[in-house]
Amino acid sequence: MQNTPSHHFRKRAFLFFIALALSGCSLFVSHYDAAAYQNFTSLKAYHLKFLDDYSTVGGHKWNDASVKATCDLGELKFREAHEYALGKKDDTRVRAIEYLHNAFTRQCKDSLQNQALFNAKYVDQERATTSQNYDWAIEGELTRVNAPKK
Amino acid sequence: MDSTEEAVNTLKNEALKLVKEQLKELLTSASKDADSVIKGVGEKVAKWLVMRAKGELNDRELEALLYSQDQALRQYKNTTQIKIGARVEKISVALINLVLDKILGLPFE
Repeated sequence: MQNTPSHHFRKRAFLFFIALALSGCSLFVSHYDAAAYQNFTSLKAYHLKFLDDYSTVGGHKWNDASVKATCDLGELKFREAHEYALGKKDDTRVRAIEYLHNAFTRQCKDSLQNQALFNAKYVDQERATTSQNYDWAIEGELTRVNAPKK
Repeated sequence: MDSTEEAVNTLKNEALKLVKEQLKELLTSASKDADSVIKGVGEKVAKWLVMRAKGELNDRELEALLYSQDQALRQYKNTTQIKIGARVEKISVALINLVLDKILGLPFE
């Protein structure tokens, strides 16, 4: 059995990090999670397609049932991602999903309330801001410890 | 006319003098900020106000864009927090391991 000063110090350092993690100290954040990364990229594709499909660009026609179905499926996807993030017990990852979810919910609500496709100029601006929201969430996941090297 | 002036001039009502002054001050400080995110938000809001004045956006759309921008900025702050936490861990763990594995036990002067 090892009993060197180095071993004792390493043990103390290890216990210090464990204590920090257990105390909920926000000094550290949880490590990279491939499934969480996948959730962000998959939701981004779905969300941007929603904006594209229900805009006046491309000759689309208003279809209430179709918008409702897309919003319902999106809601399920966000809830799944949220539950997954909750299971990882890191508030930063939960919040990242919530900020994306809030934007999607708002856009669905607006679309269904107005019973109209998003206008081209509006959706152009909305797409850029929504995309930036996802890019920051993805960047956050890729910044975590043990993320694959770029 | 620069984008700040153009955005401020979208408010025609003279009763809004104080609001105009506040808007101008905020857009000007955003445009001069070294942080590209703050600068970008200033440019976007100025652009949206001009689009609203031209009738390219309605009030509901402008409000929706501001809400999306608010959520995106919260995301940016959250990502910044993740970056700081990860950086602290990467550096502190690497330092401790370096001292333990490579330096401890070497003769010190």
